[in-house]
Formats: sequence, structure tokens, C-alpha cells
Amino acid sequence: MFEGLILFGRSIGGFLTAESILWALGASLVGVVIGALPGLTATMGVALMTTLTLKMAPAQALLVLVCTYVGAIYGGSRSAILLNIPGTPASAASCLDGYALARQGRAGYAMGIATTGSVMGTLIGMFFLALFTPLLGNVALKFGAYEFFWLATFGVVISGNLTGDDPLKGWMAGALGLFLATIGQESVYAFERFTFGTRELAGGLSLVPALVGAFGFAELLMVMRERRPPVTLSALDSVIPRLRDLWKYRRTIVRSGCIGTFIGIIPGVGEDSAAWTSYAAAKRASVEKALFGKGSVEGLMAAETGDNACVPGAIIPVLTLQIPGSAPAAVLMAAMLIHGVRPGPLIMVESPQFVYDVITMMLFAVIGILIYGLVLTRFLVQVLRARYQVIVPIIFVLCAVGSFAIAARLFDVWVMLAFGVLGFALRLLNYPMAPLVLGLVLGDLLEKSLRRGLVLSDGDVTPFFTRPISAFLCALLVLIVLSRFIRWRPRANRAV
Amino acid sequence: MRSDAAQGVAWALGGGLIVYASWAMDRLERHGAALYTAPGLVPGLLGLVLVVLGVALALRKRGISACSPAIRWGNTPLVLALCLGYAIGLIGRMPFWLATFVFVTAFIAIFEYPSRRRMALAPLYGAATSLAVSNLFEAVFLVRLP
Repeated sequence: MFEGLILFGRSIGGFLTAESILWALGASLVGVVIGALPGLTATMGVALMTTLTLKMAPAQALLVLVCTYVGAIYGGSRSAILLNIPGTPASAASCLDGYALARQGRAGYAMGIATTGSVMGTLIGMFFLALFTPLLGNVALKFGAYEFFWLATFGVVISGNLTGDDPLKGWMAGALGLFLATIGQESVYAFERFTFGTRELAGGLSLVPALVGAFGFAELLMVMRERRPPVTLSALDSVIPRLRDLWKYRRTIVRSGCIGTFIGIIPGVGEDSAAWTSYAAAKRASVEKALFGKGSVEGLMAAETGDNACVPGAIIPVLTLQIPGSAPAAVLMAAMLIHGVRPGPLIMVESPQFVYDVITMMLFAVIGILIYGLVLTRFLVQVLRARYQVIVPIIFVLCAVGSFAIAARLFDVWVMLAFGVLGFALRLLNYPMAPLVLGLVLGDLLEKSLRRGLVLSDGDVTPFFTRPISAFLCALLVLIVLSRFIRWRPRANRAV
Repeated sequence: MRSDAAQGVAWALGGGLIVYASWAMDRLERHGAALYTAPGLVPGLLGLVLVVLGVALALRKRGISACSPAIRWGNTPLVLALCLGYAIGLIGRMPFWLATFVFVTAFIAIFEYPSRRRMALAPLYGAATSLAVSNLFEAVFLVRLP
């Protein structure tokens, strides 16, 4: 307990420099702007910023990425409230009551509630991050190759199950991601697979250019598909949150914060599920059920608290298991590996300080979104008037040059382009992107764990099914898959 | 290609190709590799998963989305042509700053048509982007741009 506080204090001391504060505030603003612009997601923001922070010191680079991530999830609420268009999928639930409040002339008040909910959600998530990471780290020390194989599989399957309208297509996207991760030399014999004699593919597909393509380029193609009508914005009232709202909805805040964090911990689920689940739970428990969907402050508070609490939650399995809880967390994990940080079961043994560094980074992000939420409201409203005809080519230049900068080779730009076109085609055909990303990121772990497990058991597959944790994960997976085959209905309310 | 059935067949065929390629892959038995350590094991299993899921997609009955509505392409072909033209045709064949200037200016001018005032601003955006990105990467990040 006290050791944790000392480490946390040391982290705050380390980051309390003018340079870090400026990076944190700048990155939070970039995140909020990216999140506010419909069509550009947190995953894209983190992927793009990963390429821009390659040459920075690891601590500063990760500070920028964490602040971008938190800022983008928060920023999505701006367009949800003012335009009824979720800036990111995570803000889809906020449209229901946020836009209704704006139509009642209370857009500023709704944004204040969104800011309060996001700040409280992130703080609750940070608390659980500090609490659970050491505990989960201890449990993870008992995991072997068999358990990691099932965890990686579980992450991809559950992501496919929950992140789109159609689980079958989600699983296919996940399997495709896992397959793409096998391209290049395999780890045991350095045998080249599916490289077709291309030297550049021998080392495998570069993860960051692939992610920049699948999220950056593909999203640009999606937003440019149609010309958008001119933006009409509601008038703003006061954005200053009221303390009595905080007190009145304290139970909703705590409940949504807990739900958001726990959904974040589940590998591959993500912020949009956290927001919807928190919203549904708030509606069930509310005495003002009839107001939900018609401008319920409680509904908006629940959705915003839930999605932002999911961010620290999604980082817990990254730190302890090297399994991301969401698509942006997957990109963040890739960035950690690039910067030489090795998350995983040993993190509390080898570098416990890093866990508290991440919590401090989140604290800086919270301060950033609080400032922007209260002070820069009118600027952020103007951001929504930004012309995509101008933004898109600039972002594409960053996608291209960022992909090139990683290894100074044009081949990575082509990888970005290929994944952009692939991601665009899959989106058009209603395949979710999150499982593809999870597959790409977890493919290596899945393959290594499977082959290591088989070598350890001399080809015997029974340990995969008989060890207690493996058996539990396997049974859970079978149940999830079977439940989809037995009751196969599209979810109608996920307008993401 | 839009119906689930056609997509399912395409996935199953793709998965089948992966299975075949994995099976035909060198199993490195001369190096003492067992079947369960063969390089093609994991991609082969994933190909099999794609075949099964593809068949399931092709065979299932889902009233409302069995055949998706027609895809609206809108500006996509033009955007794609401009972006691919920049990334494949311009980068590496001329100085980066010039390629970026040409791309950003052309992109904005094309999509701002017919507003002459906004089209006139396109070269300004192009020059500013080219200058900012080139300097950021070369002077700050010390990356040698193509």
C-alpha cells in the first residue's frame, strides 16, 4: 500500500517538468480534436501519434500516447452532443441523451456533464488500475504457454463477438488478423512464410504501418466517401459542471466507473461496450427511466463515465498479461514494445515504477480534458466546423511519412496503403476492425504459446484442456461461441 | 460480392488456399522438426478456421442482412487515386516537400471546386503542410525523408 503511494509520488515528481506538462496538454488537445471529429477514432489517433513520437524518450512518448487516448475518448462526446454523430464509437451512447439535451437548449450543460463523467470515470479507472495491476500481475505469474494461448484466442474471439453487429464477421476479421501476423520468419526455425521472396516481408508485417493503414487511411477513405452537409450547431449555455449533479448522480458515477473498468479488463471488448453497458445499467437502476433517450442527465453521465473508465481498465491486461483490453490499447501496447517497455506478468517484479508512471500519465490527461472541457469549449465547437477537404490530405501525409519514419523504408508506406484499402473494404462489408487489430497484435503470442505448449508436452494437446485456468478459459470460449450459434440475432441499437 | 453467401465462398476459398500453402510448406523434418513444430501448423489451422467460418457465412440464413444494400462509393475512387498517386507515384520520385505540396494543393483544390475562394487557398495549405511536415521530421525527429 505505502510502497504504491511512494512509487506514485515518485512518478508524479518525475513528470512534473515543464516539458512533460506541455507534452501532456498538447497531446490531450490533439486527442480531443481527433475524438471530436466524426470518423476519426481514438485508435487512429494513437496509431498516428505512435509514428510521430518514435524519436522521443520512451516516458515522454508514452505520456503523449496515453494523453491522446484519454483525450480522444473524451472528445467524441462533443460531436455526439452537438451533432448527434458520435466522434468515436465509444460516444455512440452519449448521442441518445446528449443530443436531446442540446435540442432543449442545454448543450453547454450536457458538455459539462460529459466532462464531469469522463473525469470521474478516468479517476475511478485509475484507482482500479493501481489496485488490480499488482494483484493480476501475481495471478499472471501462474500462467504458462497453455493459458496464454487461450487468453490470446479469448481476446480475439470476444472482440469479434462484441465489437460489431455480426459476431461471425468479427471472428473472421480476427482470424485474418492472426493469419497476417504469421507472415514472415517464424520464431523457431526462422523459416520464411508467405513472403513470396520479398526481402522486406521476412521480418513480418510492420505493426504500426499496418495499424496506421487500417485505422488512419481507411478512416480517411470512409469520411471522404460522402460530402457532409454544413454543420449547424446549437447555442451554448454554461459548461461549468454543478457539484450537486456530482452528488446527485454519485451512485451512477461509481457504478458506471466500475462497469467501465471491468469491461476494459476483458480482453478485446473496448470503450463502446463499456458505454452501452453502463448506460443500460443506469437505466435499469434509475428512478427517472422515462427520461432516458429524451435528455436524461443520468444517462449521459453513465455513458461518459463508463467509456472513460474503460481506458485505464483496458490498460490493466496490457500491463499484466500483454493482452490489450481494446483496439486503442492494442496500439498503445505495440508502441510500448517499440519503445523497449516490456509489459507482462513480470512487470510488478521488473519495473513496478512503470505501472505508476502510466497512472500519472492518466492523471495528466485528466487535468488536460478538465481544462479543455471548461475553458476551450468554443474552440472545440469550432473544430466541428473543420473542413474534411482540408484535414484529410494533411492527415494522409502524416500517415505516409509516419509509416516511412519507423524504418526509413518505402515498403512500410505500401504496407500502410495495403492495410488502408483492406480496412476500407472490410468496413464497407460490415466487418469490425477491432478484432483484426487484436489478431495482428496477439498473433505472435498465440503462435509462440501454442508451439511452446506443444513442445513442452511433446505434442500432447491435453494440457491445453486439463490445466485449471486453461480449462476455464476454454470452457468460457466454447460457451461464448455456442451462445452465438444458438441465438443468432443482430443487435439493432449499436449505431456505431 | 456483397451478399453473405458470396463473401462466405470467397473467405472459404482464401482459407483453403492458406491451408494448401501451409500443408505444402517445408516441414523441416530433416532438421528433426516434429509435425507440431512445423512452420505451417499455425497458419494452416487459421486457414482451416477461415474455411469453417466462410462456409458458416455462406450457408446461414439471415433475413435482413443476407444481402447488404448497395455500396455508395461517392468520392472514394478519386480520393483513392489521389492518395495512391501521392504515396506510390510522387514520394521517392521527387523531393518530399514538392510531392507533399503538389498532393495537398491538388487534393484541396479538387474537393473545394467550385468555390474559387477556397480553391485559391489550396496552395497556401499545401505550402504550409509541406514546410511544417518536412521540418518536423527532418529537423526535430531527424528522419531522412524520401
